[in-house]
Formats: sequence, structure tokens, C-alpha cells
Amino acid sequence: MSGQSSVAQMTEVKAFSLQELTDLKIVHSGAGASGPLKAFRDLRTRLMAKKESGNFACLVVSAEPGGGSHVAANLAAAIALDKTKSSVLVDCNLYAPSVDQYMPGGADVGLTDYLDDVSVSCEDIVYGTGVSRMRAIPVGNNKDGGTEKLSSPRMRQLVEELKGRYVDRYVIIDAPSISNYEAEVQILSEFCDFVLLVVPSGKITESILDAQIERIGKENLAGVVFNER
Amino acid sequence: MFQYYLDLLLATKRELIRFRFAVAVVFTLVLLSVLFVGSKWPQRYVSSSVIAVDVTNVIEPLLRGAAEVTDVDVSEKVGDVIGSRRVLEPALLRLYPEAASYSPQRLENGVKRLRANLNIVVSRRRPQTVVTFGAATPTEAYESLSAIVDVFLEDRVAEKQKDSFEAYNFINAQVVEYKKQLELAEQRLKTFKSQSVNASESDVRKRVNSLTAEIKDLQVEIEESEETIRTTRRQLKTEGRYLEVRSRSIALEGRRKGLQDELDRLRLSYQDTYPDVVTIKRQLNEIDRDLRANLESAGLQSAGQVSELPLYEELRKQASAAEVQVLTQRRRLAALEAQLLDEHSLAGLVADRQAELLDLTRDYDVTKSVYEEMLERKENAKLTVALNNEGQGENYKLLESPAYPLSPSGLNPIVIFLLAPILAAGFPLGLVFVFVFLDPRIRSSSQLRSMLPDGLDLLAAVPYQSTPLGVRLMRKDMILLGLWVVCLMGFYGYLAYIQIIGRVIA
Repeated sequence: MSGQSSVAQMTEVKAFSLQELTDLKIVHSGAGASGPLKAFRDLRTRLMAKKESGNFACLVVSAEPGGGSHVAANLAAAIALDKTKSSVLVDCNLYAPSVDQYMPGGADVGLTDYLDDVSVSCEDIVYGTGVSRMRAIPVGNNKDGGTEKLSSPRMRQLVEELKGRYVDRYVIIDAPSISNYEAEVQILSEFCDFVLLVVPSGKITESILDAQIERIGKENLAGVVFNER
Repeated sequence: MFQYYLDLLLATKRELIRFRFAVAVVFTLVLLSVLFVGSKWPQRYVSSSVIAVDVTNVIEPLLRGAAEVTDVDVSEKVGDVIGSRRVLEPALLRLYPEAASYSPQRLENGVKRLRANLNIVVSRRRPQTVVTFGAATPTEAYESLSAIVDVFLEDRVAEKQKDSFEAYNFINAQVVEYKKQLELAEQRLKTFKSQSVNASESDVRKRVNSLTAEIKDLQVEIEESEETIRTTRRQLKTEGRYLEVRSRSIALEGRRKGLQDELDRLRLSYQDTYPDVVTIKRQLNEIDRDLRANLESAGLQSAGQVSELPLYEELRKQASAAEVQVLTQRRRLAALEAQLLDEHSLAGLVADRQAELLDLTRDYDVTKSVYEEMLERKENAKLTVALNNEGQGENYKLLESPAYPLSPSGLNPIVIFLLAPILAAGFPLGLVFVFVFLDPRIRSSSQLRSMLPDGLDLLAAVPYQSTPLGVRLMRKDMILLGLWVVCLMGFYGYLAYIQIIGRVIA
């Protein structure tokens, strides 16, 4: 069963209860017509509309630290709400990892291990989460020299593989904030189809926003998300 | 625009929640500070009094028409006088009798303090002035204002009496002055009249006319006399020539008679051819010829026509008499002309005197009329002084006596205590609002959308999400803060109540 390329047959860990999802601030269908659910559903639909066919790899970048990972995880969860689609959340935020909390089963190796060690395969670092049809890749154990690791060909290979294995799997990469890790963001954006810029409320001014859009490149940007946090 | 303010309010609310503890601290501090200020707030009691102004200058009606008196803004004057040292210093001495021994510096400070607490409002429409005095205690306010108003009124009465008395003195002095002038004018007129020659202009003119006529007559007479002399002289001259012809004719006839006698005698003796006879005959012829020539030269045929001597004498007598007459007449003419000249100079003198007299008379008349008018006004002034001395015609009336203030004026401490919570709550609220308003950072999705460049969309606005734990923690915080505020308000209310009660009792 596990060798087949179908979403439905992916190994599932124990699903989060509604309470757990709420505590983790993850959107779920049980939330009814709540604001966050609607917002992420809209975001998902708009992003899918950007890519005419097939899945995509989206880099979620925060303009200032805080709020980016939340948007990335919820976007992944929102995509996974659709029973025909799945998502994988790649935690590239080496300096403030956040994906672990979504993995009730825990994790041994992660992204940095994969980038360092060719013996680690792609399957080894993809873990199931408490959200149905949503997978996650944690940061891993070897965080030193993060920028260099992310720019390695293995990283590109990983993204290609994640995207390529399942046509209905969407890759969401949680990147560090552009204000502090511009180099990482620029490297990662090259592997992705487009970039999503998260603007946290009350953190940046218009001029800073303009400068960051400039750095990422308007053509790379799928759009902007405002996070009231 | 509406969206903008809505976003602003929402952002303010979020920031308030974010800074809830800081807000609570600021609230507490402001509340306690206001409580402290309110408890120390100086109370001020204001006593008020209304003075009606009905000022008319005493000098003005007395001198109306004769002398202008400068108008003063009477209402302003009340304020000026009350605020001046002349009122405040006696008032200070009346309030604090020991102030008499103060140093000038200390006295000046006391006056300044009175002036600072004094407030004078001049009514524009009605002639009244509202005078108020503020002090820390009602008694002080009342007594100070009473003293000031009393001193002012007394000062005004004294001033008014002084004014009218001065006016009387002034007019009196003027009367004396004019009387002196009048006497002087009278004296001058008298002196002039006594020195003046009693010759009127018409008299002089009459005399000049008669003299002129006389002179003209005399001139005609002189001309007549001169003509007489000339005629007589001419006649005398003619008469003289006849006389000469006659005497020569007589001489020639005498000689002819002698020669005739000689001829007759010779003829007797000699023939006519006798040489002597011939010579004598020739001589006779010559004499005849001479005789004829003599008569012809006078135009006469014969010597018998020549007049007699008495006519000549008569003529000479006449001529001499005429000459004497002319001399007399000439002398008289000279005398008359001299007299005419005198009269002319007299006429000029008389005109000058006349002008001087007119001048003196006018001077006298004017001085007299002014003097009489002044005399009349002096009587009026005397009456005014008498009226003022009687206390009549009071110009400043106390419409409202200084009132004893029953409650403090100005900002009531109760109001401060009531306003304090509002102030304490509003202050941090406003602070946060101003912070949000001025902070340029993006705080709303609509704001962000308007800032995005073309071609870049705002894909989603993720609303604030809280976890149940977060909600619980927040609720705990809010309950704690609420309890704090309730306790604080209770404490505050208690302290404020004590303060107010304390004041009321005090």
C-alpha cells in the first residue's frame, strides 16, 4: 500500500482532536464559518488559481519574524481539507522551527539531516501530522550553516521530489523572515513556483514593505497576506 | 474614510489589550495624582460688589460755553481709581492697622497682592462697575472688598468736594482778575477823556471850510487890487507924458514970444531983409515947427488939450493907496493859510483820538460783560459747593454692597474628584490612540491593500486567532485588572469623600 502514489493510502498518524487543533490554531472543517477558516480557504483557492494545472511549491515568507509559520501551517491544513489533495509543510525556518508541534508521533531526522546526509531519503524525513492529508518535514538535528545547506542541490532535489511524487500534493515551505534572512529566502524562492509574503500587523511601514517586495521580486510574488496575529 | 477610522479604532483596541498592564499603571497613577491635586486644590472665595457710576464733572456745567472741559471715560476711571495706590494703600491700612509700620517694600507687596486679587469688570452698556475680590477664606474676601469699596467711595466724595471747591476757587480767582481788568479799563477811559481836547471832527471840518472860503475871497480881492494898481499906473504914465509935452510947449512958446518981441522990435527998426530979422524969422519958424512936433508927438492938436496937474496927483494918490491895500491883503492871506494848515493837522489828531477812544470803550465793554458773566457763575459754583458739602448729587452709588461669599468659587474640588476617573481613563486611552494614529506601521488589511503596487494582490487577511488557553489567560488578566480598578476606585472614592466632608466641615 505504501508504495502507491495516492493520497488516500498515505500513512496517517493519530489525528488531532478538534480541541487540539484549536489549541494549535490550526483551521479545521469543524470550525464552521469562522473567520480564519474562510480566510485560509480563500487564500488556498486564489493560490490554486495562480497555477493553472497541477500542484505547486509555495514559499511562505514573513516580512518580520512572527506570523509566517502560522500562515504556512494553516495554508497546508486548508489545502488538506480537500479530500482529493494533500500538502507537505517543509520547515525551512532553521532558527525558529515550529513544525514539531504538529507531529504527535515525533521525529528523528529532518531537513538538515537530509541535506547533510545522502543516505537519508526523502521518505525518511516526511512525517505525518495530526491533520489529515497533511505531511510535515521538520528542521532536523543539524542546523549549523543553514544558508549553505539550503543552497545545496539536495534542497532543489527535495523540492522537486516532493512536488513530483504526488500530483495532488502541494508543497508549502515555511521560510524565515526576509528582514533577517534575506539570503535564505532568495535561495529558497528559486526552488518554488511562487512566494507568499506575510505582513504581520503593526510591524512594518510602507517603505519597508516596498523594499521587501523589491528584494523578493514582484514577479516571484503570488501575493500578500495580512496577518492580524 | 469610515474604514480608515474603523481600522484606527480596532488597532487602538488591540494595542490597548496589548499594553493592558501599562494602561492600568497609567490609570492608577493619574487617578492618584488627581486625587492628590484635588486635595491640595486651593479654595477661593470671591466677594462681589456693584458700583453704579453717574459721573458729571462739576466744572463742566459751570463753565459750559465759556471753557471746554476734557471728557474722561468715567467707567474706565472707576477701574483706574480702585486699582490705584491711593485707594489700595488706605484699604490695606484699614485691613491691617499694623501695616503702618511696614517697610515701603512690604507695603508695596501688600498693595500688589490686593491688586492681584481684585477684579474690576466695567459694564459697557450700563454705567456700572462690578468689583470682585478673591481670597482663601470668605471672611478675608468680604472684609478686603468692603475696605476697598469704602475707601473708594470716601475718596470719591472727598475728591468731588475738592473738585467743586477747586472749581469755585478757580472761578473766584477769575472774577477777581476780571474785576481788576475792568477797573483798569475804566481808569484808562477816564484818563483819556480828561486829556482829550474838546474838538470834534465836525467842528474842525467847519472851521477848515470857512477858512478855505475866506482864503478864496481874499485871493479874488487881491487880484482886484492888483488890477487897480496896474490901471492907475498906466494912467499915471500917460498923464506924465502930457505933462512933459505941455512943459516943453510952454518953454517953446515962451521962447517964441521972446523972439516975436525981438522981431517986432527989429521990424520997427529994420527992413525985413535985415539979416537979424531974417534969422529971427527962421528961428521963429523952427520954434513953431518944434511946437507942432511936440504936440503931434502927444497926439494933440494944441497945447490947450493937455490936462491939468491935479488929476495926476489924484492918480498917484490912488495908486499908492491900492498898493498899501494889496500888501495888507497878502499878509492876511498868509495868516489864513497858516491857520488852515493848523486846522488840517488838528483834524488828523482828532481822528487818532477817536480811534483810541473806540478801542478803550470796546475793551471796557468786553471786560465788563465777561466780568458780569463770571460773577453769575461764581454764584452757581457757590451753590454747587454748598450742595456737595450737604452730600447732595452723589455720583458713585453702591448698588450692591460687598456680599459675604457662602461657597467657594472657581473649580470645585468635587468636580475634580468626579472628573478624575474620566481623566485617568482617558489619558492612557488617548495616549494609545495617538500612538496608533502617529505610528506609520501597517495595522489594517485595507491600509495594506492601498499600499501594494499594481499587479500585487492582497490574497487574504488572517484575523486574530486565540487559543482557548490564550482566551483563559486574557480573561484572568482582565478579571485581575478589573478587580484592581474596582479596589482602586473604592479607595479613591473613600479618600475623595473624606476630603469633601473635611472641607464642608471646615
